[in-house]
Parts: sequence; C-alpha cells; structure tokens
Amino acid sequence: MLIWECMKIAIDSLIANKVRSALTVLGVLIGVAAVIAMVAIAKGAEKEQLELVNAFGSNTLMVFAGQARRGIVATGTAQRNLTLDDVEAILRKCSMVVRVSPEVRRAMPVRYGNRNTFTTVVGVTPDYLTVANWSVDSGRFITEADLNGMRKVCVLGKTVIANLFGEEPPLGKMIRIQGVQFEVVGTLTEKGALRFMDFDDQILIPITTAMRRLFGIDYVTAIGVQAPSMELLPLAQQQVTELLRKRHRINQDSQDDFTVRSQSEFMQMAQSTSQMFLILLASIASVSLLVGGIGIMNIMLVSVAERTREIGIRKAVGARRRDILLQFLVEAVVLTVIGGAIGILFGVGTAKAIGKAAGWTVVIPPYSIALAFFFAISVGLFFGIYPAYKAASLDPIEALRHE
Amino acid sequence: MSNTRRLVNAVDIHKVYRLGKVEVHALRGVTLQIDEGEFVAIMGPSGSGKSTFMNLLGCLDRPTKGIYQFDGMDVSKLDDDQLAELRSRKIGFVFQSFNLLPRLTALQNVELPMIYAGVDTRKRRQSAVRLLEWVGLADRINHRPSELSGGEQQRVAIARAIANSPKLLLADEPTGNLDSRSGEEILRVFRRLNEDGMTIVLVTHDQNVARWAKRIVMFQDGQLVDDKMLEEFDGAYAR
Repeated sequence: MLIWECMKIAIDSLIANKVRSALTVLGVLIGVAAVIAMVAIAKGAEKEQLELVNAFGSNTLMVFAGQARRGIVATGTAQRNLTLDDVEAILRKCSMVVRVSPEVRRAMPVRYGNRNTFTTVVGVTPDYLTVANWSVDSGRFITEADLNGMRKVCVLGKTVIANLFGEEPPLGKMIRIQGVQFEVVGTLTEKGALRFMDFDDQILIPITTAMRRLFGIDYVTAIGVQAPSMELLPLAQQQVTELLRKRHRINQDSQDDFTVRSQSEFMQMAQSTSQMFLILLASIASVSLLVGGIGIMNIMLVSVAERTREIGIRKAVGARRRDILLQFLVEAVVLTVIGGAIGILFGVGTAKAIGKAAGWTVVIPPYSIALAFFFAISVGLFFGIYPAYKAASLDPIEALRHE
Repeated sequence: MSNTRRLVNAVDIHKVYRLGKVEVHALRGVTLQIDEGEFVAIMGPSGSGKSTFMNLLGCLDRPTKGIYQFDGMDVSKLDDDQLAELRSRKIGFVFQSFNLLPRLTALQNVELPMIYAGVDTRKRRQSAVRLLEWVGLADRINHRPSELSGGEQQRVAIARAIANSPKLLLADEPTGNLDSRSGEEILRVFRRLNEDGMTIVLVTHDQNVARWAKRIVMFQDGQLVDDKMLEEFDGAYAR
C-alpha cells in the first residue's frame, strides 16, 4: 500500500478523534517549542557576545597588569608595573604594533549643576578612539595638545550625558569630577549595552590629566595594542610578551607579571560559554521530547486496542502485516509532525516574545528548525513502532471477534 | 464435474485450539472438495465447527493437521503475509454483522480491498462505483454505514467482497441480522453471482437460507456428517 493511502487513513482517524489527537500532540509540541526557543536564546547570547568583541575591533590586544591566573590575587605592586615607558617601548620596538592606547580607569562621582552620577573615568590618549573602535558624535576628541597641557577637558558617553544633562546640550559645559572642574569638549556615539555592561557609561579625559591631577598615579591599568590585521595579531602578541618580559626582567622560569588577551580569546570564551548553555538547554528539551514521545506511545496503544475490529476487517480484506504496521506508524508520525510544526511556530514566537520582553537578542538558526523537525519525526517513529507492531501482529480471527 | 476445476480440496482437517490449559478440538478430520461454480451451504448447530471451518476455507487460519489446498496452493505452507495476499486476490468475505468500517463511506469501503491489492486510484473508484450500481446502491455511494439500512449495508459488504473478483465468496450467516425481506434480497444477489460463475460458500443454521444453495453440507461435533445436493436434501429432511 502506498504511503499516500496511509496518510489519508491516518489523517481521517486523527480527525475522528480531534481532542485526543490534540492532547497527544501537546507533549511533542512543547518539546519542540522548548528546543527552538532555547537554541534561539543561547545563539542570541552568543551573537551578542561576539558583537561586543567586534565592537572593540578584531585586530587588537589588551595588556593588563598582573597575572590573570585564577585563585591568585594580584598584589598591589604587580598591578602597578605597567608604565608609560612600557607603552613607548611597545610602540617603538614591536614591528607588528601600529598603535598603542594606554588607559587608566577608576569609578568616580561626577556632578553637573545639582545632578550627580557615579561613572567610570578613563584616562586615554588620542589613539584610544581607533584602538577601542569608538567614534565622536559631536565636538572633538582628546588631542595631543590636551595631553601635553594636562588640560581638564572631557568627552562623554551617551549614558553619562543622559544622566547629567538630560535634554540639555552638553558641549562647552563644565562638570565636576571628584570636585575638579572639566570642560565637555565632545561626545561619543552610542555603542550600546550588553546585559549588565553599559559601554556608554564612561567619561574620557586625557591620560596625563588623569594620572597626575585626578588619580595621582604613575602606572597604567591596561594597554590596548593594535596590529595591522587580525592575521598578524598572534605575532604582535608574541612581540609584546617578549618585550615586556625583557623590560620587567622576568627570567625564563617565572610567570609573566602581566596578561595579554586577544579578541579571539574573548571570542573563544564567548563561544564556549554559549556551548555549555546550549548543551544544558538541549538536555532539558530532550527530556520534554521523551515525555511527549511516551504520551504518543500511550495513545497509540489505546488506539490499537480500540480499533482491533477495524484491524481485523482490514486483514480479512487483504491487508498484510506491513500495511497495518505502516498505517499506525504513519499515524504516529503524522501526529508528531503536526506537533513539531506547531511547536516550531510556537517556539519561534516564544523566543521572539522573550527577546522583546527581556531586551535580549534572539537568533533562530535554520538548523534548529530542521533539527526540531527531525526530532519530532524520530520520536514518532521510535514511539510509534511498538504500538504499530502490536496492531500488525493481531490475529485476524481474534480481531474480528472483538467487540 | 470432471471438466470443472477443483477450487477447494480439504483432506482430513483437524483444528485444535488451546484455551488456557484446555484443548478444544474444533475440527476432527473434515474432508471436503468444492469445485468452481458451486454454491454450497454449510449447516450445523453452534459449536459444530462450521465457523472454524469457514475461517480455514477463507485462509484466515491454518489447520493444525491435514491438507488444505486452495486453487492448487497448499495453504498450510503459507506464512501470514502470503495468506493475506491470497485473501486479497482470491477470497471475499461477507459477515453476519457486515463489518464495514464506520468512518468510511460506502464507496471507500468498497475501495478498501482494491487499495490493499494495489489497484490505482482512478480504476479503483470506477470499479467501486460500478459494483455499488450492480448491487443497487447507485444513490448511496457517499453514505456512511450508519446512514444505511441493514440490507443496504450487507449489499455494500457484498460489493466489497467481490471487488477484486475473487475465486471464492464466503458468507457467514449473511442474513442473520436482517429481516426476512432484506435477507431474501441478499440471497438473490448471491444467486445472481453464482449464476455468473462465482463459487459461493454460505454458512448458516437456517434451513430456509441453506435451500438457496445447490449443495448442503452438515457439520456436527467438528465432523462433516452429511453432504448432499439440494434435491437429495429435500428428499431426506423436508419430507
């Protein structure tokens, strides 16, 4: 018998038991919807993280003071060992470094008029703009002249502007950072926020002003290093590491007293977290599919018992074992495919709704839809085979006698 | 009779059922030959083994012992699927309780055996319509069994039984659930079929029904106790 005939029989009998079919489908529907929604959220998180990494340029390195090893708290001296001389040396001696951007940062109270906010103050050089991948929205950026004159000028991120000025235009206004007056000379374009990090919540000032006048320090927190391209990044990393080891007089057996992170490492970190997330979610989703499958088997067994006489009649008029097997198998698969299809729609809807409500990016990869569909069919086949086999094995005489 | 083909050749058939620990000897050595074109009635009280014998004749079951050849094939050597194949192409069933599928229309019920025999859709539909016209139900094609009278349902069942032009038509108490007028109509359909050359075996306990056949076989306690042509039967019992 043709599959097509089986489909017609299956759909007829599913329509004849609408409520029961709907309830049966529910398990698979929820399972598939869960898979789709969870993958969408996990993939969305991954995409956000990658966007974050890309926001800071894919051809840059960050050098931090202190070791990044887990469980070891960097000592005070260790955090102070990156100096402006190191920055100079990196730029001069490393052939694979085109720009450096030293920075110092500290959280500080800021005041304009009677408005207060608490934000990150970052001391930077003009190259920060390129290395950290920012652009100026209005006014100007920090210049060499600002650095040399240790001027008290600042460039504001969008969040700070919103907190201090509201709708008021900020350019040319004076603000107080920890009591010291600064003139607002420029604003940055928006970079956006990621979950708990708001990149626009910062104030940029000349690094010299920050170190001497505001923080009173002679070391830098981190150095951004830009290579000519992403491919040359490993080479740049190697050069920087060697140079700093030499300058810091670290002998062969000792650990670095600084940490170099490339964007690709950040990317890998991002991907591995999302991978774990994905595995966790997938296992939850498969449990719900399993439960759905058991539901299908249960209903199919009831259906076979109820339709014993029908099976007997079909056998009497010439149905072979495989005709009956196919009929019930197709019925189970039709059920799960319907459940799968509705589940996909439902899952996509749920993912989008969650994304909207929580402000998360959701990504629905086509493979997750194919995967969910494949799973639905597999569940139908796997849990439908036993009831179908039972139906096919019925003795026609017994089945005909059945009331 | 030597120039007609032998359709059924059952020799010393035994059938033993196991009901729990009890063995039931439903048939105890039945020998019967039926040629093509015959119209045979099998009679006997309930429990005489006539239904068991009909199941064997219809290749729904295999004998425990003995030889059963149908249309030259040794049935006891066939597996379940081969039996199904045989039923599909060579045997039609008519039951006391009609056994139509309630959710299908008359037309779909008639199409059913042709689906399993692999007849293509268009041809199937055409023959089903023709068959229903032949049994006088041209205006009931799209009715479901619940919308038909008993007699009409049984005529649909006959149309279904002969859909694949079988060699043998088996009817188990076909008039048992019908009033005498509808019953007679059904028997008239059988007679017409037989006149067209169809071999028919009819199981009944009703003498008046059995008299429509040409040959009457009596069962008792799992054995064949009498086998007569209708004329002889009349001579032996009716008078």
